[in-house]
Amino acid sequence: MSFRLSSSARDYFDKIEQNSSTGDFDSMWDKYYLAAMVGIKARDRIRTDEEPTDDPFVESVISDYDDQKYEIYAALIMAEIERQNIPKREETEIRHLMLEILDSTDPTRLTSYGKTLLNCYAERGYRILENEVPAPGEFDQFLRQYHNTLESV
Amino acid sequence: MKLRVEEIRYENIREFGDMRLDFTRGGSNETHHISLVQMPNGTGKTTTMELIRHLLLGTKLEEEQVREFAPDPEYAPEYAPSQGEFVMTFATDSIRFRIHMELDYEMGSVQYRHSYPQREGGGTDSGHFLPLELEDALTEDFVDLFVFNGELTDDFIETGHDKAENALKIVSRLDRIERQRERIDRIVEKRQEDSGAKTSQGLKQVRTRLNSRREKLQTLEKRRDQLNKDIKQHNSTIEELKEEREEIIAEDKEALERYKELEEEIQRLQTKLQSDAGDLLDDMRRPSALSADFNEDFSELLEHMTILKLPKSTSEEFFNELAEGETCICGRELNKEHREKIRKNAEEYLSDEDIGVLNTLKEQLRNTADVEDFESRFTSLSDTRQELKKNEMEQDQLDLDDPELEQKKQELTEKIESERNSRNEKQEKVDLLTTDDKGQRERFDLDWKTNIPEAKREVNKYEKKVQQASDTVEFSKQADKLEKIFDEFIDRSLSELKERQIQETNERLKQILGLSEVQIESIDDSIKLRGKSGSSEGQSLSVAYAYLSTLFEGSQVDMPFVIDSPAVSLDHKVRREVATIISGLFDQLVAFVISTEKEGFVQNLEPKQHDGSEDIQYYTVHKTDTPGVVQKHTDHDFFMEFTSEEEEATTTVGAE
Repeated sequence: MSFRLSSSARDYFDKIEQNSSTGDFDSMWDKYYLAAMVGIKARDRIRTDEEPTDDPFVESVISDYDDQKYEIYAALIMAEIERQNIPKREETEIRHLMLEILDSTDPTRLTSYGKTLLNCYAERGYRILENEVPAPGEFDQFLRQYHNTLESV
Repeated sequence: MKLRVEEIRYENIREFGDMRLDFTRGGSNETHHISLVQMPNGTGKTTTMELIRHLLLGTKLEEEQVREFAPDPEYAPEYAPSQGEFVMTFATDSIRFRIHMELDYEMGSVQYRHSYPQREGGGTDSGHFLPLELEDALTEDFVDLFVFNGELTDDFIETGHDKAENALKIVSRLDRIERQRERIDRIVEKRQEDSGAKTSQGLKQVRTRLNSRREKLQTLEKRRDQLNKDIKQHNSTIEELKEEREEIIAEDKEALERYKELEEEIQRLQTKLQSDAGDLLDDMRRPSALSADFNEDFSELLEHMTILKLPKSTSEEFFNELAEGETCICGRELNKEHREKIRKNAEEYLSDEDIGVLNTLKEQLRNTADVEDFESRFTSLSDTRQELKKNEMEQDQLDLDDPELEQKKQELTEKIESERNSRNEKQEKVDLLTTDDKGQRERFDLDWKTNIPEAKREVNKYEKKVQQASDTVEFSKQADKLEKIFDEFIDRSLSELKERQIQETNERLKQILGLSEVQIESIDDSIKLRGKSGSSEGQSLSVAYAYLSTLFEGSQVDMPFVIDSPAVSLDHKVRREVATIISGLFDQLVAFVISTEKEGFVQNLEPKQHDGSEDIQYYTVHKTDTPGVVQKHTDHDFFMEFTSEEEEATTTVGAE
């Protein structure tokens, strides 16, 4: 299992880069991360059986995100605890969920299921973004619109 | 391959408590030429014929069908067996085998087993078994031909029924080829349904649609190319106009200076915007800095992990190792019960690896960043962008002292603006023509008539349809050819088979009935006789039996002939004729008869000689005074003298 972003999500972010004369994203991970955090904050993801099937963009977490990957995973765990309505003091279920998502043996420290979940949040996040910011202009303008959208979900 | 029936055995079936009909000669491996089994009506003749058919075919029976073979509990309520068995022993040239049909009356189920009488130690194996040559030959239709209901014999002769022709097809296996031929139509129909084009006309329609889509795609691509060419031209014109404008501005030294100042400022602001936006993105990469909500999430998760003591500071491995030792860490000795408890509770603790990853998570959550004030940075970015726009506008609208130059410059600026607008409009059109963004396609209602990627998909779709449809039309044509080949093959084979069958049956009839007797003229569904008016009913039936025996001789398997009621509906004269012919036609004949059909039939049978005596055996199976119990006799005189009052009363037989 790998990190995946649907082709329509890629097109959306590519267009921002095409339209902008003042900067662009450094990597696909930037686009993936920004989309995923919108989905996670909205506590909304597509169903795991609808996970994008496009070619994975990368197998690993790139160095830009290596230090903060656990923050992303923690946010993912919290979103799932809420989505699954797990009572906050339910030790066994929370532990079970954490171990379903985290994997000490994988270089990314995520299980296949954990990656699927993150892919599903990223896909939903992109759809929210596209809905809120349908025609982004310059890169700096998009970042502002992105931040507004993130705060509003 | 020669097949013989050596024995039939009943156990707890209807009124047969435990009975055996042995068709071999004095315990040898040779079977009698003729075995007559006299059973009054209601004793189990039809049941036996039915069981033989099921046993040969390994039929799976319904619950009700199985229970119909159960002994009537009214006759033996204290006994009422829950299981019954029907067994037949067969011999071929190379093997003797038994098929066991085990009937479970309680469950309503049937199970087949098989065994080999010569095997040392006996024992049965599960499952139905037939030697390979038989397995392939014994279809339901084929079994009906040699486990035969005698009352249906006259269906073979001049009735218009297709029994005779069908029998020929079954034995020669042409019936299977006919069934394959019938499958062709069904396969073609299914294929046509799937592809949506049944005929050449349908294929033409799909092709027309494909062509219209190809043409549309070409038109769209041409339009895109033209637009791109125009955009390029606009850009080049803009550059030329800008140069021209700069030359005019250059004539005004002061203005030129300002123009250059603005140009530098524009460059600086663009660089600043790029760098600030890059820095912003860099800081946004940290969720804890990105939003206060994430920060709250992390605090909450950390709190839960602490309250729930996740991960446990002690690992599962620790307790598992502890349970291996002799004593606990407190020094007390551990017994089996302690160890089991420790191992069970150890499952609640995490492995070393899991502890590692959860501890790292916890550690990271303790060191999250503070939320960044992005708003003020965005405001600053926005200010920079405004300034950039202002400078760009001023550069465009820079006033010149000389009114004539100013006029020219303004005209050029307007032209540049107009060129830009035209270019941007065309760029938007190109975007819509080429976008593969689903969301954008939906917003602008784009389809294959207006969007190149959609048109490409549509062309691909119709290329596949044309492929499928042309395959199907071609497939149908080939299927027609194949059907014709099948038909021709069946017709020719059947015609040759009929010719041979007629010739061989007639030769046989000549041998048995003499030269002047009846002959087959043709087989057209049923058998048509030459000079029918001159032949007796007995002769006609003899033809039917001769026909059947010739069929079996021509088949790969030489079958025994097991017949039920061969003479019951015949008058005495006919019986004599039938008895004469039927004796010579089959190597093993097992006939189930009732007492009223003996007269005229049994005396005229012509069994082969064996050791100086006639090779015929006589069984009589009849009910006794005890309800539900039948008895078996093997004596010839008993057989001949036995009469069933009921049959005498109900059967009307024409007197000789």
